[in-house]
Amino acid sequence: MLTNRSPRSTAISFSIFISIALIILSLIGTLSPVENVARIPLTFLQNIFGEISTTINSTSAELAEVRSLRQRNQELEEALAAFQAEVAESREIRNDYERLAALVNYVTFTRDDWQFVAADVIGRDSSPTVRVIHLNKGTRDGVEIGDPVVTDQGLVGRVTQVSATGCEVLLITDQTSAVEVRLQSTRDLGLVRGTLSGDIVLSFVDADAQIIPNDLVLTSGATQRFPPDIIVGQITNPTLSEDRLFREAPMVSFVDFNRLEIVLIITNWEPVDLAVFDEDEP
Amino acid sequence: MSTYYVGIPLLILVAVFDTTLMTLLWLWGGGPNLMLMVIVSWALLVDLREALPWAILGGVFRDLLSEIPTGSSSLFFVILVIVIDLYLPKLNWRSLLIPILTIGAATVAYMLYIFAILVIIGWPVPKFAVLTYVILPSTIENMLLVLIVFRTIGAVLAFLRPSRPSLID
Repeated sequence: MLTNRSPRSTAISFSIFISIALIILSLIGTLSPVENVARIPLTFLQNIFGEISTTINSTSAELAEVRSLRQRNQELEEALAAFQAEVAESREIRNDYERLAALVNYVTFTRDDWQFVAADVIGRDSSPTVRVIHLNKGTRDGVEIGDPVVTDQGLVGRVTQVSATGCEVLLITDQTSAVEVRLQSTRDLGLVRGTLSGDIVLSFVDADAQIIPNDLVLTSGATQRFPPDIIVGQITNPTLSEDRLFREAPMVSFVDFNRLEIVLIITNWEPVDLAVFDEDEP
Repeated sequence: MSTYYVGIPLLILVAVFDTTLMTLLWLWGGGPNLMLMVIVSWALLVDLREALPWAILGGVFRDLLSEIPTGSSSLFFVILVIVIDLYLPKLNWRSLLIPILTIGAATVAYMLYIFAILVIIGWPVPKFAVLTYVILPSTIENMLLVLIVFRTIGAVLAFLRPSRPSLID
């Protein structure tokens, strides 16, 4: 009996010890180099199966959406006609702005200056409440922690971890995400946060501010975590917060986070370094 | 030893499937947890000492593709395997009820454990919303799919060890 029990107890104790040791080493960062190396083959496989998954997802979505596409197409054609007039007007305003900016020698980091790295979405975090996607571009492609990630439809998130061949992006729909924003029409400032359900909510807008339904919400560039003027989404129904101190509103992003396939990483975004102002004076 | 040749690549694939193909089956905020189903099935079919390495490796591969610290899932899987070994008999691959009930309980326990880990490392977890939004759909989907996984693992085991009487009948 003893001879049978002894190896079992040893195996149990050894297994628990190994698991706890792994957790501690991972928490203090000692395992990071090993984890990064071990992730390389996993990222390679994720790349393969991520593509298969994306193909299945997009095919089934396309089949399901065929019925609504005709109606949507008609709506878009009507919207396009309305927007074309607006675009013409906006071009005139932009030309005026560029002429005036040239006159005062005003230089800023604009969309034309951005350098993009296109990346495929190869996986998602397996923890259900964590909204993080895995991309197949890493430090070898110039990606760094903190790089903003966008699509042509708006802001996606920010790189939070990077290895040689891949990176992890915290989506703006994650509960821990917060994006400083500006309302396009009224220029009021606010904060867009993610929710458990994967939606985004505009909050911390001044209680006296006017929030117009369907108004666009853009990044403000405040705190320098994201470049300014990237579309974050559109406001739906504004309300006062429970404590009546701020206005808030649910929002709709133009990005379909469940069907992201290809995203763009902005690799040359260099925030203004404000850390020096935080240092204690001598 | 032959189980390792099959087991390690299988566990790597399962971890990758959990973050790719399995996300297609997500309902609300939850979805099937293939790794948990594999570990439970393996623990129900083989001896404790054979199940423990699978539990550790499976947990490591899963955590490498997640935000939680490496080893967190391993610790849960190891304890789960020990509990299964203590309280449940070794099953025939044709068993129906015990795998379903076991995966149901294991899913709830694993989800609560993961949320506790997430809270400890600083991720906000709305305590009541996760019950309906994440745990319920995950548990139902795991209970619906576990028999497929259980029988597949049983078939793999039967292929590796054709002489085992409990797997041939």
